Amino acid sequence: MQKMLKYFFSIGALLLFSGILFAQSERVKGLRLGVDISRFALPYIQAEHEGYEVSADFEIKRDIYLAGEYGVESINLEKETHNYISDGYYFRAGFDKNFMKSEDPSEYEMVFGGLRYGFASQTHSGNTIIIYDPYWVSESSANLSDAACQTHWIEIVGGIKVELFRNFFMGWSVRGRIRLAHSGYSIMEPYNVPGYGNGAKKSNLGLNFSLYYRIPLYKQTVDYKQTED
Amino acid sequence: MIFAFSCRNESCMESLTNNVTINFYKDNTTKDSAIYNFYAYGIGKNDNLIYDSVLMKSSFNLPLNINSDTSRFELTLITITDTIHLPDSCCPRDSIIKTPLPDTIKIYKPTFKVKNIYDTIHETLIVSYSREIELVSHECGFSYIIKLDSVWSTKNIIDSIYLSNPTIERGIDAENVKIFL
Repeated sequence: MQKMLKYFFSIGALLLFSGILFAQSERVKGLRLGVDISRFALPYIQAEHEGYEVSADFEIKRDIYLAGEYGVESINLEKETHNYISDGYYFRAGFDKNFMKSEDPSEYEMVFGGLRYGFASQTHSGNTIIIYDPYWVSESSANLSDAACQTHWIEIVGGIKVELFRNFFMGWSVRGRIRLAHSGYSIMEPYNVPGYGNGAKKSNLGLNFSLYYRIPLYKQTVDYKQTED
Repeated sequence: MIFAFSCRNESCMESLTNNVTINFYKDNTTKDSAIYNFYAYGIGKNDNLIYDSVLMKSSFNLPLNINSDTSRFELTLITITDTIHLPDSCCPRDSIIKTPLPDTIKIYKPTFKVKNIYDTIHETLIVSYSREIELVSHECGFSYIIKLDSVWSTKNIIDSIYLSNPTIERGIDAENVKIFL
């Protein structure tokens, strides 16, 4: 017993002189909701394209977040050879890892990387289709009625989230997507897959620029390593 | 402002023509010398020759009318023959026959060998097929997937026709029809 006490006090003294202390602190867990504000400018850049996206993340463990996005997109494309209409929704779900180390338990900014699984469902149609034969100088017209498509992909994401003022954040992310599977493409491939991008490509890049608000939910006691000079 | 979109190439980079590829065979082999010269046009398009004098080739691509189920072509084949068969009633011995080219031949018997006799033969070729609409790309527009049903012709020099590959592949010169002379 005496030996045990001797070792206990020795270790305590060692920790005290090394300046390393473990302290308990409170971290407020919250749900961070975001809106991709770049989508509001889409119709001014690509007149045929309209869409909206919301996102959410929640810290399940220190620096590990459950994250996801949901959005809707529509296309109304007019070409010389055909008109094309598409409407659909998508969601992405996965995890983010925060690589920005902070000793402040009230720090919620992030430099992160993550993975997502993505899924999109849409219906599309081709109207006033004109097919012209240049040698025979003949023309025919057709319409393709609504067809349903689904697309699955995986996504690697990286970005930052910076706190502008209390609980309000701004951030951007870069995304690389690889298509895994699709259905409903046989007669007409989608011009654009909601949430994924160009339907003709097996991989796509994407960028987002978002504003977030973090809703504080509850406090959790956490152990924090503090270093004294 | 950073935006979420993929850049697209707006120009059409793919072929929209649906050609039937025909190979002529003589003596069961494909020989470029099977046909000395070749002319072709779509019937009704006499003023727009598909082929206007092509020397020493045996493979040709004819554009199918994608807005119809049948295409008709007028072919002019000029072949080189080395044998002319004459009926028994023709031509006593030592007769002189004038040929299309300024060669004259002395007849020794009803069947005789000559050199460089050009034979001009006209054939009509009819191709029928089924069509299914498909999107080539949003930049190019729509076309049809074409599958050949049958091919037939007049038989002035054509002996037989064989459908080797009924599927027309856009932009690829793969043989679809064998024509035996």
